[in-house]
Amino acid sequence: MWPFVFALQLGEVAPPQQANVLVPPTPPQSQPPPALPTPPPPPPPPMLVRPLPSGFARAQVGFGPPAFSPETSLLRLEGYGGGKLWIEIDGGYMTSLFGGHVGGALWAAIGRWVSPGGASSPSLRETDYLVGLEIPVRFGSRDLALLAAPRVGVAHGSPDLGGDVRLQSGFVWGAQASAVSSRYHLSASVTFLSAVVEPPGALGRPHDLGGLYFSVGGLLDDG
Amino acid sequence: MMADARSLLLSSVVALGALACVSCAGCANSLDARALDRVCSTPLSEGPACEIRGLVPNRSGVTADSLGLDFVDGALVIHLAALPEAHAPDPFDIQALAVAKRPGEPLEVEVSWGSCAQGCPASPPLATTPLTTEHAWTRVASGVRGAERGAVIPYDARLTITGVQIELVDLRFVLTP
Repeated sequence: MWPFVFALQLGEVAPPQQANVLVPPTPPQSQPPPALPTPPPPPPPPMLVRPLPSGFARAQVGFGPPAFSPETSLLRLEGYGGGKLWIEIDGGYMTSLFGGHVGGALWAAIGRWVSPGGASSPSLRETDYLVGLEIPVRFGSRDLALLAAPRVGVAHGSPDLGGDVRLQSGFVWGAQASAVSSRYHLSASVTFLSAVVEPPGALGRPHDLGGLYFSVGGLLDDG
Repeated sequence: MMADARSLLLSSVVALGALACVSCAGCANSLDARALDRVCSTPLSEGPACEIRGLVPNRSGVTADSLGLDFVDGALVIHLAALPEAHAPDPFDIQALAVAKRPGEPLEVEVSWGSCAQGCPASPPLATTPLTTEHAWTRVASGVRGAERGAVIPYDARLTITGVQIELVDLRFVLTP
């Protein structure tokens, strides 16, 4: 009897009554709030980029060898050498037509070549006056920019050995490449100028009043 | 990247500038130039220090204010009294900065002590030196002896330089080593 009762009791095992389990009621499934459009990032603070200057003026002092010419070679055979001192100014305007990269300017320079003679020899002297136009082309920033300027113009000058000589005139051409800083108002340049003239003396040779020189100086502009 | 470009730009300008400055190193020489001007401008009581003979049309030199001689067919006569080196017995060389218009054209140098009777050396033989067609310093006479110190050099003692189709730019008188 007992085994039967036991078996009966096993068979009457009630299924778990889940309804009586204390389970916290789950809230009804709710819709997530609609996503708000993310606001655009705030615009960056305006950068204080100053435009490249349009007007400029420079003054420079330079030094370098006189232009190479048959006359210069002949003078070197005589023993006259040394370098030529240059003082130059230029000024102009960078037009907005080409994004401020191209402009027009005037330039003027004085070249002075003095080679001292010996104890009983005269000194060689040459003072050259040059003036003309240039087309500056600029790339870079206010901090540092490359300014390249082809030049044309006229030149006057003649070498002498202490006497009175007539100045010779000629067409001058050349170019200048500069590193300029509007921020620091500085300019450093390499310049080549050529101005071929007739022989200064009957036994002279064709001469050149130009030269190749390195110069440094100051820069003023409206930037 | 931008900084590299700027450094390159600045370095290039500085390097080119340095090249411009050093390219004339060695240009200047110690010199005793323009002896031709100096000797020919020496005042002598008897007359001019230099005379031109023959066909020498152009007389300006390497500059408009210097003396040079374009010998078509002519001679330059320098009176030895105007030559400082002729007043000392030390031998000296004569160098000419000259160019021949035709290859091999010679420059002839003759030293004559003229009527000098005392203290003057014997006149050396004529020296003939072909010149190049490029400007160059050429020794055209060597070992020329001067007069004894204190000797009076007469006006007819002279150095005669003769050439055909030759440009004489300058002269140098240097002691013979």
